[in-house]
Amino acid sequence: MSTSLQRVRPTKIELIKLRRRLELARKVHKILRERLTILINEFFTRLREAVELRKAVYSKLTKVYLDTLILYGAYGENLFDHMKGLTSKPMTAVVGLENIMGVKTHSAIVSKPSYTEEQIIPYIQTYRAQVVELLSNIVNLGRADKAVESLGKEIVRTKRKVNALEYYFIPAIERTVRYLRMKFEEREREEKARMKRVKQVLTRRKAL
Amino acid sequence: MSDKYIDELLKDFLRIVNKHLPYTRPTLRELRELKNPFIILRDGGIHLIDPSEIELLYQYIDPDDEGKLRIPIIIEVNPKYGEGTAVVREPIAAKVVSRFLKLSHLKEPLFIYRSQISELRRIFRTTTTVVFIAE
Repeated sequence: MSTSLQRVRPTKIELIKLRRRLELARKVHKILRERLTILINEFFTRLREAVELRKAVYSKLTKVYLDTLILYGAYGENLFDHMKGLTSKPMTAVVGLENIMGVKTHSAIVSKPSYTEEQIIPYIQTYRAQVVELLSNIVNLGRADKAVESLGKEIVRTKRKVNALEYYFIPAIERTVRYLRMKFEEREREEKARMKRVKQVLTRRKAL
Repeated sequence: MSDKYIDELLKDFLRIVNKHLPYTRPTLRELRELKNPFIILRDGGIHLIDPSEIELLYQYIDPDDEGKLRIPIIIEVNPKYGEGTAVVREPIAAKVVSRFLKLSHLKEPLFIYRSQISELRRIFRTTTTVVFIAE
């Protein structure tokens, strides 16, 4: 911990200014600490979401990959052209920004595709639903990962501010305020002693 | 560092923590009508709203209040209420939040605590926002 004092002129005006600054610094410290706590909670929420999504993506990826191979083996490369032909509205993802308490991160909204119903190839609907879910999970995983990264950076930045206020800035002002108070008390005592001495001198002169 | 600079810096910290507040707050119904719902923030940025959250909010709201609930729902954090305590001031938002959190007694303003904030933010990621008040 630093033991430095701020260099100030020992005047009442300075003391008032310092006390105001101390009050402001304490207020900022409280707010930043609250923000830090909420950011950390948010970070863990997003982290949990990212872990869950990653697990889901890995498990689905293997299944979809195997299913693709089976379908490809059975129906050949025309299968995907056929599926494309049945899709009336493709799957889209709108990418934009999301603001989590001042932390900007990427966000995406996935819209589900729609198809014309045609039951020619068995199992195709289940397969297509799996693929859509997998793609949606991948987009959401990207969003969650990006949020974790941005929140982590902001947490480091906020923590540095909170620590600077808590361990350096506020104690330094408190010490300076204490020093100024002591200085004023000292001056007051000196003044009292001087007045007493003057009174003594005046009484002695009167007696003469 | 000059005194003026320090004071400005401290005031800036307070200003920055609330720069994510919305500039306009459309109602739930207005947002539902948009294809890609979004809101504009005070810093000029755009905040995308997840349509699935809008649909979820519809489950917790009375049909009469659809046009009255303003999005995002504001959760106010004020250190004077104590650490980890937040307030939802708007009556309709408070009703929706208390229904979601399964709180039996609805009081206005609605006080919620850290774990409840986390739960709320986990589900309503884009339709809620936290405001920091310094008094």
